[in-house]
Amino acid sequence: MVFCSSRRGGDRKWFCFFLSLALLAWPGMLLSGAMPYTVQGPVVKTNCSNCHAWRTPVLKQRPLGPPHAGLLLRHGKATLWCLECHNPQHPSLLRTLSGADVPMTEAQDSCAICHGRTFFSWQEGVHGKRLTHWSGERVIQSCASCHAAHAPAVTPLVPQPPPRRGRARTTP
Amino acid sequence: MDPERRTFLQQLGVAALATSTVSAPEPAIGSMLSDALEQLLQNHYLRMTPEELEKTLARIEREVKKEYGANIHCGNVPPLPETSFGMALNLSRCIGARDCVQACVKENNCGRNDSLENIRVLSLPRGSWELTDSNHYYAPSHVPEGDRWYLPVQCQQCDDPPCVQNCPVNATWKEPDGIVVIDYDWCIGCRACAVSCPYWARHFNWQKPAIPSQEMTTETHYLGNRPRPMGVMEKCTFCIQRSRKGQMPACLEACRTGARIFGNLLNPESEIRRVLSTRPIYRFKEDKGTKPRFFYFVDAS
Repeated sequence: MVFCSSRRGGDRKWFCFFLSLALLAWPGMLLSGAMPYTVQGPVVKTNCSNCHAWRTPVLKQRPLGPPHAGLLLRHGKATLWCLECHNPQHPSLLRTLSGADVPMTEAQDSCAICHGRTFFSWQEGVHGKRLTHWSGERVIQSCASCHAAHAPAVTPLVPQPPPRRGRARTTP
Repeated sequence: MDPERRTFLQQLGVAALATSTVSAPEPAIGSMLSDALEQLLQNHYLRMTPEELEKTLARIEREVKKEYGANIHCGNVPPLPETSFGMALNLSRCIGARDCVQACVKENNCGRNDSLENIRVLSLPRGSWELTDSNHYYAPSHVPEGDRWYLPVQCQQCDDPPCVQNCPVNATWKEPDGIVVIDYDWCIGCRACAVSCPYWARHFNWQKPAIPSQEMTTETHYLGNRPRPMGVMEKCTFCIQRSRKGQMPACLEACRTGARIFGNLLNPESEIRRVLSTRPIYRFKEDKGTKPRFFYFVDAS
């Protein structure tokens, strides 16, 4: 290795050791700017294990009929299937692409697989919303507070009425 | 002589007559007399002693009870040490739903009978910064409209505020935590500040604000959201009654897209400092030299 071209073997060993330590610590150093936070808000709306605790899920990708008829999968422009996020063996668990389990309370880790930039932005408090207090404990909203996991696009809203034009009225 | 003072003097005469004729005077009349004298002789907020201030706050609570039938608590929380407030707004997130406007009106006890919204959301054609093309009366069926973008404007809590310089009686000043406030009882209603403000952020109470008593926000501040008398200015105070207790201003709580970020500019760990150090920042009408502490930024992630 180029980095380890020292004459004395001991020096080389320690240099490589500290270098690998620094490289391992690198992602942590990137994230260290974000303040600690507590996540609040709805994480899961329907409990899959209501049925799938006793009913084996059909894993094949197919158009969803009843009892999933109300479950519209409008996420990822029709490229995703349930098992991209859900663990087929444990319906109350999510999973990463490498197969690691993610509990529903940590669902943001599952979102971060694809939406990494948004996730980091959410962690540092730019995306998303902090609740109730600007000081003290930092409580931020979960992803599912605004984006339903199966149809995450935010729908257009009806705006509040505009200010009144012209002269003031004497009664409200 | 303004009509309110005239009616008051008439009431005073009636009250004096009543006290002279009725053997056992009601306590309400006595308090009304002393209240009127107190109001007349009330000092500037910054020059009041703690005892005077306490009496004034109690008197304000009595007056609101009399005029609006609502039991409020008028507080006087001093600025927090080592705190300097600032707000940032993500222009890529704002969809112009005006939730902040309505929450502000409700929280700050603005008169419902006048256009006293402290936040004005401008709608501009996409790609344009031409303020003459902006429209704040937009009312589409749904927002966001595809070809518009939205610019909410409120008091920018300038560090060099022209409104404070132009006030002839020092009724408005900048607090140590950066909030520009008004002593409503010291304001003479000349509206010089409204003329000098480049952001259209100050509003004049042309009439007594009409506030339904059940909608009254009961937790108030002397410099903030207590019901204002007729003929004085009012403005955004970053919800001084909330922010000095560590709470979020009402516009932040109401925003459904989380476009606003509020915090202490002196705390390097705060979200707002994070935004200021890592995102592209825009200050509205920076060429006016008012040094706003309201920052617009862009972040589409």
